[in-house]
Amino acid sequence: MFHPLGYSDSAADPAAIQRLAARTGLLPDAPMAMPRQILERAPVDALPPLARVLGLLGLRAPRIGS
Amino acid sequence: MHQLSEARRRVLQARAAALSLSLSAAAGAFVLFLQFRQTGGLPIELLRSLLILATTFWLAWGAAQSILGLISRRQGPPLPAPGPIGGRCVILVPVHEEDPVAVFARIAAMDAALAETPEASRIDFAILSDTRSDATSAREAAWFLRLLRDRDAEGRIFYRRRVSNRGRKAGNIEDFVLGSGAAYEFALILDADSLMEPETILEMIRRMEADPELGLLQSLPTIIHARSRFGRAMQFTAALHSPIFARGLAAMQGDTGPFWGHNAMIRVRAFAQSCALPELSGPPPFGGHILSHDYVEAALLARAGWRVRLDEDLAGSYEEGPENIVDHAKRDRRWCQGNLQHARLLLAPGLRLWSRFVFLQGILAYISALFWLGFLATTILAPVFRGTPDYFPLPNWPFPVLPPNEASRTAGLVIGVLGLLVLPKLLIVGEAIATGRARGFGGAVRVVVSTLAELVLSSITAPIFLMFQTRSVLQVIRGRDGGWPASGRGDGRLGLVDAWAASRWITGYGVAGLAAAWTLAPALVPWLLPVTGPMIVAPLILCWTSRPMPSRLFDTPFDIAPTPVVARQAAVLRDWQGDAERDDPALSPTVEPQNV
Repeated sequence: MFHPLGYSDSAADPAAIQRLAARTGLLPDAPMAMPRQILERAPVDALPPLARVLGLLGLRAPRIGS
Repeated sequence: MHQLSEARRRVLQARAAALSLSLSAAAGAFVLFLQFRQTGGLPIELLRSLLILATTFWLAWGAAQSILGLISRRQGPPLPAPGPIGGRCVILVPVHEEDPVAVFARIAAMDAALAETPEASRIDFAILSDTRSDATSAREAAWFLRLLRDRDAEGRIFYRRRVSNRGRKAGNIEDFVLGSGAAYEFALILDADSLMEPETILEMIRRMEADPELGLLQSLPTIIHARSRFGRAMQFTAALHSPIFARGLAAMQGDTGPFWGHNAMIRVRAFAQSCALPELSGPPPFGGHILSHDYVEAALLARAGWRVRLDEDLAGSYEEGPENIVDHAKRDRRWCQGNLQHARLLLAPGLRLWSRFVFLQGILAYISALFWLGFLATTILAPVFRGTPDYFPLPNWPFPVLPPNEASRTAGLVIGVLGLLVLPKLLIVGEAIATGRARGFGGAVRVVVSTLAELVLSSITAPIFLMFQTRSVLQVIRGRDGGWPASGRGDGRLGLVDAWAASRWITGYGVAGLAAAWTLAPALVPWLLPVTGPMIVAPLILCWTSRPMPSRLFDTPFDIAPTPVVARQAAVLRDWQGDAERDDPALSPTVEPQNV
């Protein structure tokens, strides 16, 4: 397989290249919390009027909140 | 405090002015259209007038935005003085089935340009791959190693491929923040086709540092590298008109600005605190993953009290656009689904009123296509519902009263629509000439000629976009999920066979519409030809507009004087493409020709 660094055939194994890329490209280990946001009140009761008008959700009412 | 309330007052004034203008125009059109109606058929005339009200409001809203842009000045606090930056910044490049040679060449160019500044050590890059195909991910890994070697960048340029695509692009960014967010104060989010001047990046960091409450700073990306007739026309109009429209938008939005998903800087802490998106209940297209995540993230930042600002004066921010109408329509299909999904969020708890209005605008932008098509259909059908004209409606009046001429009414409508669409563009041309901005486009004459050509081209393509947009809206309403297709890049040339396959249904509707008008309202045929004509020859238009443009028409400042980072990117790309083709043509990248 071709690779831009001109490795020998054995080193040009795609899996080996991907392992090398993953190792050399490792992101910094610096976790940060992300609290999940709330965007829906009570899913079925709070459907906006426009969504109802468009009929966007009426088709799928039984599956909402499932 | 006084400054803030003054800024708030200006924002409210801008919103009130735009809303008043749009509502007045819409109400005027409604009243006039209803007043000069034909005898009989009141329900259909009322429906037509309501459709005119909705479409006029939407057109006038765009016109108001441009007028605000022409009369406003830059919003926001005073600019910080150039100087060193304090915080660390990471430039995030999410990729999904992209050509790694083209994408990584942009990163190499930006990294090389940043290396010439004293702040290089404070800025890293992270390539966040969501690529699923084995072939593309193998090429990504190989070209990442080449990027590292060429830029000597181990420990500065990172590459991570996710095991799962959970949450698509928004989930990709979220995964980065969850694992590495604490290492950085700021993150510049780019698209795979984004490019940015180093000084622009540094200036964005300075502006973020100067305003600790600023959660997100959006730049106005300029389209570059367009080659086709369609692409260059879009590039021209974006370069000439977008800064003015964006200034009008900024005047109305104040601190509740937009996020367009890329070419924007976030304060990582603010983003982490407020932007972990939930999945919506129910299945796609209206439930599940939030597709147009950027608008929602901007709304969530504002909900949490962070400022979101659009600084349209930031030059040196670039992106690439679709080269043909089909690629544009595919992208638009995705945006359509995302915007209509926002109907679910109109009543989301705690959002600012303007954020809800932005969602509504995004929805209207797409469903307005239904209003236009509805108006055209009812116009053709209206004669069926009309009674016999009463030429002597007034008792004891010896002279006949002729009913209003439908063709005259249509002519009035065409003039009104063109006024709302064309006048802002002509005013912007005037502004460009008066301020000297036109010189960057090759002078006043070239700007005027290009503008007129763009007006002709956009008039011809408008009915085709109307049909694509209508189909998108109907597909979404019927519950069809568009999925997550890879973006169309490359030279985008369409053959006639492909163009026919993509648009023969538009030809069919065009023929049917014209035949119906010929049968039901022959007097309207000449007025409907500008709509039905382009529909009938849609395949030819798709094919012709996708061809390269050899002339200097639609030149932009970028074409006339490419900036250093763009020239550097072209050089890296030439070098790498040569290597790829020499070593293994089968693995050579999709050609992304550069016109520099």
